[in-house]
Order: sequence, then C-alpha cells, then structure tokens
Amino acid sequence: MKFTFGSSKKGDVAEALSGISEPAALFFSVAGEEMLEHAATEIEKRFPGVACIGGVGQAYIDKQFFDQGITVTAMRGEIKVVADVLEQASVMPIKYIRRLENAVKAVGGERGRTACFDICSAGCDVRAVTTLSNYLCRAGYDLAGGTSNSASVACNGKVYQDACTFFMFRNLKGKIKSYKENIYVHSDKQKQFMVTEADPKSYKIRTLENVSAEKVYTSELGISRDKITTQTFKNPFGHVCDSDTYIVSIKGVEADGSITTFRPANKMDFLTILNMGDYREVVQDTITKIQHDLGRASAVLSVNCLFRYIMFNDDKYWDSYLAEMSRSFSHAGMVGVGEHYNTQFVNQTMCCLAFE
Amino acid sequence: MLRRFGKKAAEKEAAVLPEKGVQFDKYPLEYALTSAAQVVESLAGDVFQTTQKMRYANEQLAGLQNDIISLRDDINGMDDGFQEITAAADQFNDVEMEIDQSVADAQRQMERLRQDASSVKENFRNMTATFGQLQQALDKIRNSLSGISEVADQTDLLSLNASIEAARAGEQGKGFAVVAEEVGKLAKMSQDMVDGIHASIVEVEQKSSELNKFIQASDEAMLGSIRSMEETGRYFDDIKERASGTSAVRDAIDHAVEQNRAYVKTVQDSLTSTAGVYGEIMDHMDIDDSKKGVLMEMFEHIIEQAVAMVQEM
Repeated sequence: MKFTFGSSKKGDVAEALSGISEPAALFFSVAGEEMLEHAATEIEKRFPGVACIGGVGQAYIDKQFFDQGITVTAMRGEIKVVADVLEQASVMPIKYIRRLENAVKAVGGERGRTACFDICSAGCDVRAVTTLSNYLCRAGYDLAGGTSNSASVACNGKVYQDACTFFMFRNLKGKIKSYKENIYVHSDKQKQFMVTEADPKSYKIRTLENVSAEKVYTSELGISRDKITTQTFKNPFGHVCDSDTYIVSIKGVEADGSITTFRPANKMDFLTILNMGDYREVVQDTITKIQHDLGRASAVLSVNCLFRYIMFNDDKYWDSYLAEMSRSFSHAGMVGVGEHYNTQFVNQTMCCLAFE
Repeated sequence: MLRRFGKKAAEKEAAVLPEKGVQFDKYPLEYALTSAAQVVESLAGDVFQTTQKMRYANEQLAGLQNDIISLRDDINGMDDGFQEITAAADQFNDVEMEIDQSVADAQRQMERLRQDASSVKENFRNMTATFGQLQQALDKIRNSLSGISEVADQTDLLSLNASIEAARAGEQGKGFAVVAEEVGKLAKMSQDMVDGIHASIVEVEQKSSELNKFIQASDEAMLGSIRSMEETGRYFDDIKERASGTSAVRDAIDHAVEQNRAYVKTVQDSLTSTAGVYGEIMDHMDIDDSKKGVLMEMFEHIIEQAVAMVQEM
C-alpha cells in the first residue's frame, strides 16, 4: 500500500484533493471541528463512494506535519477497504454491530490480512473499543485507531456526533498487523497497585490498595500534590494486563484524594507507576519489530497521542521521529486524544496498523 | 479497489432499525446478550480455574499446617539447646574469672621474684668490690714477704761475715760487736715486717668476714627467689588446673551445639519441604487476575448497551 497526500492550510478541500487520484480510501483530518462537515461533503463529491473517514486533529505524512486547514491522505494499492460508522458510540454502538460484520464480509475477512482502523468521537472510546474488540478479537482481526479531538467524526460524506467511524482493511498482498508503542517502562520488581475503589464513568481512581490514589502516587514518587498533573509526562500510570502494560494518563487530582485520568480504570485493575524510557530506542525497536514481523512493511497508518506529540515537540524530537518512521516505510496518521489497540483504549501511546 | 460498504446495505439496515413502536431489529440485542454470555463464560472459566487452584492450595496449606506444628516442636527443642549453651557459657564466665584471679596472683608473685633478683644482683656487685679489696691486701702481704726474704738474705750474709770475722779475730771481739749490732737492726726490721704481715692478715680476715656476710645475704636472696619461683610455679599449676576446667565447659557447649545442629538440620529439612510445598502452591496460585477487570468491564459495557437497546424498544 502507498500513501499520497494533499493539504491546504486555508482548509480549501479542492486544493487538498488536487493531487489525489484513484484512491482506494481517504483519511482526512481538519484543524477545527467546524471544518469537518464541509470537508466530508466536498470529499464525497470529489470521490463518491470511496471509503473515507475523518476527524479533528493535527496530521502527518512521512516527514511533514500539518496543524492547519485540512490534510487528506489517500491510500492506494492492493487493498480492499470499507468505511462505516458505529453510531450512539457512548451509549450502544453494539446496536450497529451489523455494520462491522458486514464490513468484514465485504472485504472478505481473512486472519492476518484483515484489520480495523477506527477514529471515534471524544468521550466514547471505552464503549466503542469494547464493541469493536469484542467482535474483532474473537474473529482474529487486529484493531488500531484513536480519538478525534472533537465530538464529531466523518464517514463517507457525513458527519456523526458521538460515533466511531472505521476502516476495515484487507491487504490482498500480505499481512496487516496492529502495533502499539509505549515509551514508558516498568520493571518486574516494581510495585503493582490494585484499584480498590474507582468510578470508571467519571474516570476517577479513588483508592489503590485501599489508600487514596493521590497519597499512593505522591508518596511513591516523592512529589507534592500540585505536581501530579504535569508528572504524567514522566510517570503515567500503567494498566498491567496479561503480559502487557497500557498507559493511563493523569488528568487531575480531586479534593478527596481521587485521581482523575484520561482513560477509566476499573476496580480490580492492576496499576503500576511507569518511568520514562529511552524513547529514541523504543521508536527504533518498533520500526525493527514491524520490519521483522512483516518482512517489508509498505505503509503504516498511525495515531499518536497529543501528549506524545507535545513531549516530542518540546524535546525537539518530533521532526526526527517522523523522519525515522518515514525512512523505513510510508507513514501517515493523526494526533489523537486517545489511542486504541486491540482490546484496549490507551493514552500517551502510538497505535498503528502496518501493512506488508 | 472496493467501494465502501454500499448504500443499498445501509438502506437495508435502516429499514430494519426501529422507529418507536416499529418492529425492532433483535439482532444487535441477541448479539449483545450472546457476547455478554461469552464474556461471562470466559469469566466463569477463570473463576473455575481460580477455585480449583484455591482448593488445591487449601489442601496443601492444611498439610503445611501440620508441618509447621512439627517445626514449632523442633524450634522448641532448639530453645532448650540454647538454654544449655547459655548455662555452659555462664560457667565459662566463672572459670574465666578464676583464671583472671590466678593470673593476677602470678603476676604479683613474679613482681616479688623480680625484686629478689635485683637484690641478688646488688649483693654480687658488693662481692666483686670486696674481692678487689682482698686482692690489694694480698698484694701487700706479697710485698712484705718479699722484704722478709731480702732481710733474711742480708742476715745470712751478715752471719757469714760474722763467722769469718769471728774466725779471724776471735781474739779481738770488736768486730763481732759490730756484726752483732747489724744483726740486731735486721732483727728489728724483720719484726716490723712481721707486724705488717700480721696487720695484713687481720685485714684479710676482716674482709673475708664481710664477704661471708654478703654471700649469706646472697644466699638468702637466692633462697627467697627460689621460694618465689616455687610459689609462682604453684600459681601456674593452679592456672593450668583452672584452665583445664574450661575444657569441661567447652565439652558441654560442644554437646549443646551439636544437639542444636541436629535441630537446625531438622528445621532446615522442614523449611525446605515447606518451601517446596509453598512453591507448588505458588505455581498453582499463579492466577492472572489482570484480565478479570477487562472482562468485567467488557461485560458491564455490553450489558449496559443491551439495557439501553431494550429501553429504546
């Protein structure tokens, strides 16, 4: 698969689409939610019937980064792709499960060669990922995606509120595999704390091992309460599940000692406090792993967390990161406010689908 | 290239999606409930495995409880052993104090010995000086005797001359008178010399007497030293005897230690066995709880969606 792209800082859709022809699928992102409907409609007019999804957020393709107007990434190659949407995503996306099943049928789902890439409205990640993964994991298909920085997402010319839009891909010439990149580490000896009291609906962790989450976090790191929010760049929580760890970003601290997060934690979840790893090395490891697994990866479609972008940018690494990724394969994606990887909704992560 | 999932399909789906009061598409609800049932089944499988592991662990822990009771008895035995060692160690302290006392006595006695030896040394120094003086007196005697010998020689010569003169002029007594006078003088000289020898002998006698006194004093000092040494020897014998008492204490400690070593071996074996059982329990108790939260979350979300769909019907 190959990516081509077009962009317009002014948000001129025609300008952005001017260099694109015969796309198999289109993925677009706009700088503001108010631009979404116009962009979706215009793209549909220009390429009617072409699978197309879009959201709000910064975009990147290969070495270039776009944070204004509109950016359209066109996918071409030996792929079958269908785009559809699960509506009422924060309440009952499962009501639209047929759409997911039909999408799989339409592309001719095949294990190892079929995967889903989703972009959902902010705030509906948990239920959307639960619904998608419940079906996809049982069927043996990978999932990667993320969250639009808006309540709306676009799919096939329409804008949907509270929805989860998705591509269902089948690679006709090779494998597709999902990856996630976690730049934080924890040792086996590091303490794990069981969530003993939580309110997942309000993304609140009240107690860890029956001690207030604030007290556990501040005493473990030796920091004061007012440092908690910014400390998440260095020491986010990690949700330990099976042999993997999923990042949980800290949003704030409440008067009662609860810690609010950008991803809900449930009672009985095991959390650890992560430390920043050598992210340059982690990025190289991801590239090596993708190349190793897929032999020769042609393209990677990713979602990078907004926090990662901010941190890499502050460290003057973001451009190097894009350059590193594009050196090995064609790389496109958007900056999201949440990331999806198989069964998990995660934070501060890069999730992607890699195409052989 | 495949176009997106077609509009016809969407229309078909829209046709089955309900308006209020219209026929409801049961499929998503069935799907949700089936999915929920599958999640529950998965959770139940986890719970079943956990229960099995708990039962196994329970059985093993019951066995372990008996082992721990046995271990407690062994540890009690060790406690007795330690009390014996403590008692033996206390005895060791007594012996040590006695040895300290004996050593202090020996040290005092050695000090006395050193003082006696100093006294002997002083006496011998005096003896040396006295013998020097005696040598001088003997030299004087030797000189006196030499003088006597000279006088005797002169007297002999004069006697010869007197004999010659008497023979030549026996009729004339004048010459004999002169010889006689000279002989008288020599006799006087001899007498003086004899007196000198007498005085020297007296002096030798006095010095010998003094020397005798010094020797007696040295003898007494030496005797004192010998007594001190004998006494010191006795003290050292005493120390030796008391020191030999420590071997009995050491034997007692060795015995107690040996006994405790046996207890320790028993406890070690018991702990090794216990650790093995714990290891087995741990292996069986290696329950991955991390998935349960995810499954429960999934179940909750599916059921909540099912409820929402039912409410919408």
